[in-house]
Amino acid sequence: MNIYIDKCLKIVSSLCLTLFIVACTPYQKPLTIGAAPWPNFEFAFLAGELGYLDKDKYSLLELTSPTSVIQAFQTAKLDVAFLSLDEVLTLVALGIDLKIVSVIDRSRGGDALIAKPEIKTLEQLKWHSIGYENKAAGALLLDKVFSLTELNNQTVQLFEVKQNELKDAYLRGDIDALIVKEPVKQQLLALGARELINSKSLSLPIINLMVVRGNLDQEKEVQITHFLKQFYRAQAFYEDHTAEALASMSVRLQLYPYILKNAFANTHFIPPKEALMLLSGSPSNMQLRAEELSKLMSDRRMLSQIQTNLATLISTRILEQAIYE
Amino acid sequence: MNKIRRVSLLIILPAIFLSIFFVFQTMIFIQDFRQSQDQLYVEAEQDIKGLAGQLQTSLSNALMRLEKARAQDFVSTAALNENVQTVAVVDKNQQIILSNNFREKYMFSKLQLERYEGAVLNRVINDNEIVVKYFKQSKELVVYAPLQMISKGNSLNRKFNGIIFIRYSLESAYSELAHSKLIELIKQCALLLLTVSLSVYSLNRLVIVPLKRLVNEMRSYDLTSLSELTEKGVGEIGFLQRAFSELIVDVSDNMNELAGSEQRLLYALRGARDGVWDWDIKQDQVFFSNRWKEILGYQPEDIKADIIEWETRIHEDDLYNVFNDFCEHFVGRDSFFENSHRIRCKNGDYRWVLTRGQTVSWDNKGNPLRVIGTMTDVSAYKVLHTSIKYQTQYDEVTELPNRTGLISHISDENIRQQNNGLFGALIVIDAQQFSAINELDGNHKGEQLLSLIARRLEKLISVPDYVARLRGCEFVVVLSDLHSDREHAAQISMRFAEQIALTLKQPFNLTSEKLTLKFAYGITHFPSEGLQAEDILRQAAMAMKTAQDNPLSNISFFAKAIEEKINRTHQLQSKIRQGLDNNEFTLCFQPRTNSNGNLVGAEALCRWYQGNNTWVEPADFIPVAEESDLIIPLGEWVLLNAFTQLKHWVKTGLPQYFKTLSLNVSPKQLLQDNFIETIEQYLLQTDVDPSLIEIEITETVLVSNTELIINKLHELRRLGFRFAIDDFGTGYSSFQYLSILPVSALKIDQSFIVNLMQQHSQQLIVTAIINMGKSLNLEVVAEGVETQQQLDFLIDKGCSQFQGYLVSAPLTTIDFQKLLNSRKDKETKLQNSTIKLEKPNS
Repeated sequence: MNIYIDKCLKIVSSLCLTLFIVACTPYQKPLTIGAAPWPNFEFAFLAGELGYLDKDKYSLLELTSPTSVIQAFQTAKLDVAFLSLDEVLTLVALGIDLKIVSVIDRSRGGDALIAKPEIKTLEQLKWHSIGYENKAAGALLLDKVFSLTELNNQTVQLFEVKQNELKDAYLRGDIDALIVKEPVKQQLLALGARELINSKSLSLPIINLMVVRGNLDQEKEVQITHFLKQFYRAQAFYEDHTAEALASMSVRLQLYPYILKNAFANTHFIPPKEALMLLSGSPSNMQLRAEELSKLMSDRRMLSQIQTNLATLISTRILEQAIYE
Repeated sequence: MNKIRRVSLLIILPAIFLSIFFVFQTMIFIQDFRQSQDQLYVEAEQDIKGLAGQLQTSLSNALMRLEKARAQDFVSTAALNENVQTVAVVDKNQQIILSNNFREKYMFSKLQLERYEGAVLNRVINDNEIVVKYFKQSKELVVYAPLQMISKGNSLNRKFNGIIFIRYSLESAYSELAHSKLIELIKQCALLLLTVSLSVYSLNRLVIVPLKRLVNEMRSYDLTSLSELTEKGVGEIGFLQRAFSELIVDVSDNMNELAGSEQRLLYALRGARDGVWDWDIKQDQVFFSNRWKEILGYQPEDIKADIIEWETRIHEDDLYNVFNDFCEHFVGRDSFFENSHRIRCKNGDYRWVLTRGQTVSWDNKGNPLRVIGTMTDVSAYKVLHTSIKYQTQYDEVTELPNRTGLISHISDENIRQQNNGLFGALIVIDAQQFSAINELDGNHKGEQLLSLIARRLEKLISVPDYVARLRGCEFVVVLSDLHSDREHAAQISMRFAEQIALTLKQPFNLTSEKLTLKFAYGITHFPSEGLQAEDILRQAAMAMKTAQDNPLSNISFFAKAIEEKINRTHQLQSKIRQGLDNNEFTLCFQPRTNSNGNLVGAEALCRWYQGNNTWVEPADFIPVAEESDLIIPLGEWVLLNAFTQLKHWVKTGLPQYFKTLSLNVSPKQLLQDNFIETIEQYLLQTDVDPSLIEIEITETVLVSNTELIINKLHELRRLGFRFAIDDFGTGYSSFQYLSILPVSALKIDQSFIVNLMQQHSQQLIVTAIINMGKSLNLEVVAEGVETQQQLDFLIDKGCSQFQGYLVSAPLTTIDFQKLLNSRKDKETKLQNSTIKLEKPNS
């Protein structure tokens, strides 16, 4: 009789435990990943296109501008976002809990100030209108322009335009010059625009990152790790099958592949291990860059005072797992 | 089944509870889930329509201002909704203008957009309506909303030239809903399991553990040494524990009592030297005590526990009765089984045993399961009983069965004949003269005669017939299996009775003389509904009595008429009593004359007037009074009234020749112990002269108690009474007695007179009687003289006195008084004339 009771108790206990575990597990929604057009960010969409990601588990949201990405991340529409460091700092300043999980690339001319063909030098920008998205890249480039010339914000007319709308504004002739990112830069150059200065000349590099929401659970973390792996896998595919990858990616961006290839040329992709190195250490390289950029942005009143310890923004665990597991 | 019954309540109760809960909860869950799904669908439809409306405005504005990038931004932002799969703007050429999936832009919508139906486009544009479609299988909602993409200048008319296509998946929402509902269910279940676990724990602590403890305590309880049970249980468990404690005390007391009783019983059984058996009917196994085996001469190990051991040892003649008695007991007709039977011993001899038993347990259908009983050795008793039975059931004189045996036999035969549908007969045989012979010649002769009768009867009968002696000379023959028809059976029994009559008619050779007896035969038949052995015998006896009274035949059947006659007799007896009380009896006087016609006497006769001109004949009521002893008070009444009347007449003066008033006295009256005293008392009372009184006695009075009668007659003679023998010639007469008895007259029975002139033999008898009377110097009185010829003949032969209708019919007291008066007057006149004649002579 006791054997029966013991068996029953075991069954009931197991059942209770199982039920408890199931009850504590939240419903798993697909991992939402968002990015605005940028050459190295395209590997995320390429991974999707190559079938590396399960469509039920990964939702790739194609956004038009970094502002849209920031808004979506801010409103918790995204779990993973591809943003530049300054954009990340903007979010941190807004009190958004996030983690930097990887460093994607460094802009090496990918951000540039371009102007109508008739404006041939920086000095000719005087009294002309410049469109830019209020981001650090734009600010740094303008700062550089102002430092190289006698121009200042009184002598040029500045218009804040979203990245995706810059092209339309330029084509409509509303503005004379604009600070753009790849791949729009290549499109405008193809239309005859002239590049006056680019991010290569900046002392502070423009770094693009992959961030995730700070409050993600274990299950999501596994998904992110998997996504990151597939991201690098797609990048590897690009390396191995560049033409094929470019063809696929250019369809999405509505570009010619060679334009996209040129756009890639203006970025420096940071391999995962290098990215891990940038993120590792105390303080890490990335933390120092962030602090530096944060200070600059604060000085230029582009950013309010960041209360958060920037060291806490960095998490290497996911990247480590993506590399080594 | 037993395994299930042995499962703890700790499992069964929660299992039942949980099963019920899960069934109901599942039903509720399914119902709730469906409702929520419907609700979700409605909300999704509203959501998607709202989104479409919002996009209609924003996209229209952006596109009309040619802000395509902004429009794309709207589209991309709209697609942030997790359920939105596709947001696209399609122009009227089915080309995708904008899409959240950049790849689809500028592609042919029909090829790129999932769930997109090109045909809907024109309808949406032309009718300006939002079309919503639901794909049940993929759980997707699709919306087509018209969109104005190009400004028409100053025209107020809206021109739709594109549509917004939104694909909205409900799968994720449904899955989330299912997940949340499931979680809710799981939480409820977990809560329930927790509750049940706590309940089980409580149940275990409060009920199961105390119950188990109680069970263990009960199992290991030693009734011989009382110790207290744990009584710490809560509520009903506590009651149960206390109830068990009380039960144990009661059981212990009862066991002690039982042990004492058992000891006493054992002692009694040992003392009684009875064997004990205990039969398990279902297993057909019997426990036999050592004593049981010992009675049969066996050692304990010789006899096994099989029923065969018992059954095969019972005498085959007794086996049926044993089974039958068991059956009677099992069906409830007998509360105990009891049977005497023979049982074979070890040495092969049979021994009589008395086996008693009682069923002690039954199954639910009422069939016996176990019977316990004893076996007593009754061999010695049986021998004694057989001897006693023989003595009680057999007549020593004739060695025939006696009344007890007869009754038993009739009972058995009555049942047997009822069962086999045949009729039997009972013949009662009696010889009236036997008692007289017994009295006269002594018991020895009587017994010799009875033995001879018995032997003759025995020779006549054959199996299965039966003969027995009742009493006196009453024998009974029982004839069995005569015929299925009563009439035929009656004929056969009649023939048999005639055969007996023929045999018994032959004289019996006694030591000293040959004797012929007159037998009467009463026959009745059985079975008859509702009649017992005694009733059958009584009927045959009645028939025999009828035969005795019947002058024409000595064989009579019992019939209803006989019974009715007897009933009438009983009624008559009660009326006689009433008559005596009501003074309904009266005396008549029949004159007696001599050959000269002189009134020499009269016979007082009793008459009964019931009123309403109804006279009852003496022949009807005298025999009834004789049978029932009513003759005593009636006779005394007659004596007293006759004395009184005679005294009166004496006072008034009697005729010269009138010397006798005859009075009939019955033998029973005469045999009364106080008869003499009564007569003396009446004499004193009336002061009548006894010499005027003649007491008539019948010959039969002399048959029995002769000596006593003779003594009484002598005493009466000394008082002055005279005696006449009434109905002389019809009964038993002994000339020897005539010489001894103080008789003064003989009265020739009227049966001799009635055919006197027609039958010569009667004349010879009458002449002989008259001569004998003369020789003995006795008055001879002829009764029933009705014709002058008879009178003349009698006078001629020397008969001295006459009585009968020729002389005078019986007269009432008044008429007789008149007769006396007229005779006296006549005598006076004759005397006067004689005196006158003498005087001249003198």
